[in-house]
Amino acid sequence: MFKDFFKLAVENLTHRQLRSWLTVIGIVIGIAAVVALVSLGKGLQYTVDQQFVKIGADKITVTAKSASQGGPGIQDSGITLTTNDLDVVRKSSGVHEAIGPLQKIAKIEFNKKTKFSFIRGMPVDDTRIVYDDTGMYDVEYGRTLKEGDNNKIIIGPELAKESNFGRQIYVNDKIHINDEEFTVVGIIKTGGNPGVSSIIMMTLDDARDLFDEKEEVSMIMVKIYNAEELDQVVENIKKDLRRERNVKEGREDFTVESTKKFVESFLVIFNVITTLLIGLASISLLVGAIGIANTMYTAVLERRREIGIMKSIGAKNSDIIQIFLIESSLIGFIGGTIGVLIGSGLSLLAEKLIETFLGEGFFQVFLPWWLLLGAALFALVIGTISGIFPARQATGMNPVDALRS
Amino acid sequence: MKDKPVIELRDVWKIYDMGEVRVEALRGINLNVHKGEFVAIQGPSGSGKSTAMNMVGCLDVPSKGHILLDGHDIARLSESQLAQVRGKKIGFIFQKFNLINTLSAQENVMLPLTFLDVPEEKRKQISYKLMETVNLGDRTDHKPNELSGGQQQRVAIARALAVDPEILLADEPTGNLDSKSGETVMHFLEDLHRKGKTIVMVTHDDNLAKFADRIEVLKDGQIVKSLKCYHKDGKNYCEEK
Repeated sequence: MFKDFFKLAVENLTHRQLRSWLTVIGIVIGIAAVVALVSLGKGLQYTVDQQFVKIGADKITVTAKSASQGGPGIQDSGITLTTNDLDVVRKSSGVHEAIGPLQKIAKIEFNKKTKFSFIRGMPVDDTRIVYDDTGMYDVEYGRTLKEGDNNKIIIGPELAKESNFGRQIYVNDKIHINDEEFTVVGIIKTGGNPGVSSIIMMTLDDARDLFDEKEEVSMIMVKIYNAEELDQVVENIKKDLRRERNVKEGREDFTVESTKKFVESFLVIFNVITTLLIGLASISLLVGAIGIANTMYTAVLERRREIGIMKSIGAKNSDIIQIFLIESSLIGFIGGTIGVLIGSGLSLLAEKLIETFLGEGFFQVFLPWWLLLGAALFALVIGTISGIFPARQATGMNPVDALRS
Repeated sequence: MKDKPVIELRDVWKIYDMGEVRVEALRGINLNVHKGEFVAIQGPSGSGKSTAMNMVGCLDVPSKGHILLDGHDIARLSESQLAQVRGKKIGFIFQKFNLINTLSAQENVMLPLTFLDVPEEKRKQISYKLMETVNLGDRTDHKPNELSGGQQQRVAIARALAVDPEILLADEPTGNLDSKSGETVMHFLEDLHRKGKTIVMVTHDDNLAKFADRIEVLKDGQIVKSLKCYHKDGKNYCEEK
C-alpha cells in the first residue's frame, strides 16, 4: 500500500510542480547552509588542532609587549627582549631548552626585482630541538641549515613562486638580502605552517651580522621537559623575567604564552562563532519547514474535495495521513538531498580557495558520510513533522463537507 | 427478496445547529432497503434527500435515531470502521463524478481496492475488466479531464463497482449529463439492478425515479409518500402504496 501512496504523493507533487519546487528551495537553502558551515567549521577546527599538535603541547613563547599594545599615541616604546632574558628563561625551572630567534624585515633582490620580506635568524646548533620537532622548517627540496653554514638560506614555498620575482627560485639560486649575497640551500615544504610560507630563514649568526644586532632577540621560544607542567613553567618564567627586568606583577613589559592556551582560546571563540552561524542557518531551515507546512496546508485546502472522495470510497484516516506525510517528507528529502549536494559543493569550493592562498594540504573540509546522510534524513524528518498538522487537518474533515466544497 | 433489510433507518433526525438558527434537515425518517431492491429517494432541492443519502452511505451520522447496516448500528462505529464499511459495502456514484484528476481512469477505478490492500496485479485485473464493462476498455490511461462527462460517470460507476459492494448509492447520477449520456448511465444502473445489486438513487427527476422499484418522496425532511413501480412493455408505472 505504501508504494501506491508514494506514487499518489509523487503525482500530487508533480501536478503542482512550481509550488513544490519553491517549497523545496526553502529546505535546500537551510540544509546547504548547515552542511557548508558544519563541514567548514569542523574542518577549520581540525586544522587548528593539527597545527597545535605539530607545534607541540610543550612549547612556550615569550614576546616583548610592543608599542601597539600600549595603546594609541604611544611611540615605539623600544621594549625588546635580549640575550640576557634568554639566559634567564633558559635557567627557569622546568625549561628544557630555549632559543632567541631574530626576525626583521629586509630588502630582497632576485632576478632584478626587489621585494621586502621577513628574515628569520634561527640557531642551528643543538638548541634547534626547540623547533625541529614542529616540522615547521622541514624542507621539500635541498637541505636544511646546519652548523657552520655561512650566507646560506632556506626559503618559504610561497616566496619561491614565480609570481614574486618573475622567476621560480630554486636551490642554489643566489639572492641578495640587504645587498649581501646568499645562496638558497633549501625550499620549505608546502602545506606546512602558513606562518613560514613566505619567510627567509638563515642562521642566527648570519642574521646578527646582517642586521648588526648583537643583543636583541625577537622572541624567546621555549621547549619544556613535561607538557603537563606547562602552566607552572609559564609562571616560573614570568617570575624570573620580572626579577630580571625589574617589573612588578601585573605591569609586565613582556608576555609569556603557551601555544596550548592560545589554541584553546581560539577554539572557544571559534566554537561560539560556528555555533552562532549554524544557529542562523537553522533559522533558515525553520523557515523552510514553515514553508512546507504552508504548502501542505494549501494542498489540504485545495484537495478538500479529493480527501472527501477518498474517504467516501473507503480511505481510513490513517491512509489520508500517510498520503500527506509522504508528500511533505518527500519535499523535505528532495530539498535535503539537493541541499547536501550544494552545501558540500560550497565547502569544497572554499577548500580550493583556501588552498590557493595557503597551499595544498593545509586545510581540509570535514565531509563524512554521516554528516551528508544525517542532513538529508534530518530534512526528511523536518518534512514529516511539517506535514503532521496539515495531515491531521485533512483527516478531521467531515467527508460530506469535503465533498460539497 | 423481502428478508432482513440491508439498510434500515429508524426515526432518523439530522439537525444542524448554526448558532441561532436550527435547521432540521431530516425529521424522523423511517426507511428499509432490502437486498436487491432499487429505491429512489425523490424530492425537490432542500427536501433533505442528499442528507438522507449521506446517512445511508455512512458519510454522516444522525443527530438522533439509528441507522442499521446489515443489522449493525453505524453510530457505534469509529471513523476508521465507518471508512472500512464504506470501502467494502458501499459504492458511490456522485452527480459531479468526483474522480481524482491526477490519476488515470483505471487508477481511479483501482483506488478503492488500494485502500483495501488488494495486491496490485489483482487490482489491475479487476479494474481493467470493469473499464471494459462500462465500454471504456480503450480509455484506461486517460485522465478524467480527457474524458466526456458521460465517460467520466461511467468511470465513476466502474469505481463504485470495484469492491463489488452490496449497495450502490447514486446521487443525481445523470444530473450533469446530457440526455443521451444520462440514458446510458441509467441503463447501466438498470442492468446492475437486474444482476441483483441493491441500488439507492437520489433524484429530483420523476422520469428517473420511475426506473426504481419503489420511490420514497421526501419533503421538508420527512417522507410524505411511498410509490411502488412496475415495468411493463418498456414503460415504467408507479402508484401509491
